[in-house]
Amino acid sequence: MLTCRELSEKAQDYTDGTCSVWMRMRIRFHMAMCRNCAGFIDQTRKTKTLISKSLARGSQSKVSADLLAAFKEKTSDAAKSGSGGGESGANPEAAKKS
Amino acid sequence: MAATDLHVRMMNGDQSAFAELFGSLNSNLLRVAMSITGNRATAEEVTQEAWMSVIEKLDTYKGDAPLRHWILRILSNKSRTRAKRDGKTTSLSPDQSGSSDQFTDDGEWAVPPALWDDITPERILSGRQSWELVQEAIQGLPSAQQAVLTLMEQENMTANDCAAILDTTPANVRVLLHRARDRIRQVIDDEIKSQKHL
Repeated sequence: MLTCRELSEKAQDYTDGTCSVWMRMRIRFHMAMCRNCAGFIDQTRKTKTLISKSLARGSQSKVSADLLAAFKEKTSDAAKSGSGGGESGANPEAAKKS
Repeated sequence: MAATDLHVRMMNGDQSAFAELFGSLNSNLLRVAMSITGNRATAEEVTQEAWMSVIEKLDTYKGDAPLRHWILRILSNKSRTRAKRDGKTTSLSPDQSGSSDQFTDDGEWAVPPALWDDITPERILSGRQSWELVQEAIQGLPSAQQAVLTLMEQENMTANDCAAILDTTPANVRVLLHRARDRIRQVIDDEIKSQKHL
């Protein structure tokens, strides 16, 4: 049977779904008998959620006037030369990946 | 909105599309640049240069990868070139601090983790102050761990893609990710324990 230390080392692989089926079974078996480790897995899962939400909350930045001016200049140049706009730079395959 | 839609809008000169992309990506670029250059001022310069490159090369983007990953690769190349030029080598090796003291010699919990069963962290951390606690904890991580968290948790990169951006190995990326999450878990756990004792 896994020790609590071994389970703690595999906890993130378990919650990420990246550990083997055999390891998943061993972890579930251990958790059924160990409240501490069941609690630790619960902490690990909730932490992952909180990190994602926290990163998403704090990531907004405001673009500088200089960069916006450079963007405006570039895209107006492209429009004049006829290379900008439309679907010219986009690959429909990318929509599936994005 | 899909990144490709943003690209089309930007190619059409839509400034709000560019502002939208910048707004959601710039702080992530800064974190990655920091982890490679090891210096805040240099990271800001390199990030600015990367955005200028993005503007210049916008019409060369072919959609082989998500637009945000394409921009992150541009930033990575610029950061690495700059770090090399400045003679800076930032170690991405995981630190050796672990949680081994939490266990007995038999591998059982010496200090059992707090049970979060009756507590919803989202509820406890719903106040602005508590979200700031998590964000501060992230900012307190070594820069390499912040970069890995950003790339994998927010930009949804694989360990392989993340390793390519940071010029390290996928195995190292996974160790950094695990260390970062575990540190944040400890911070949240300490906060919950302190609230339980109030």
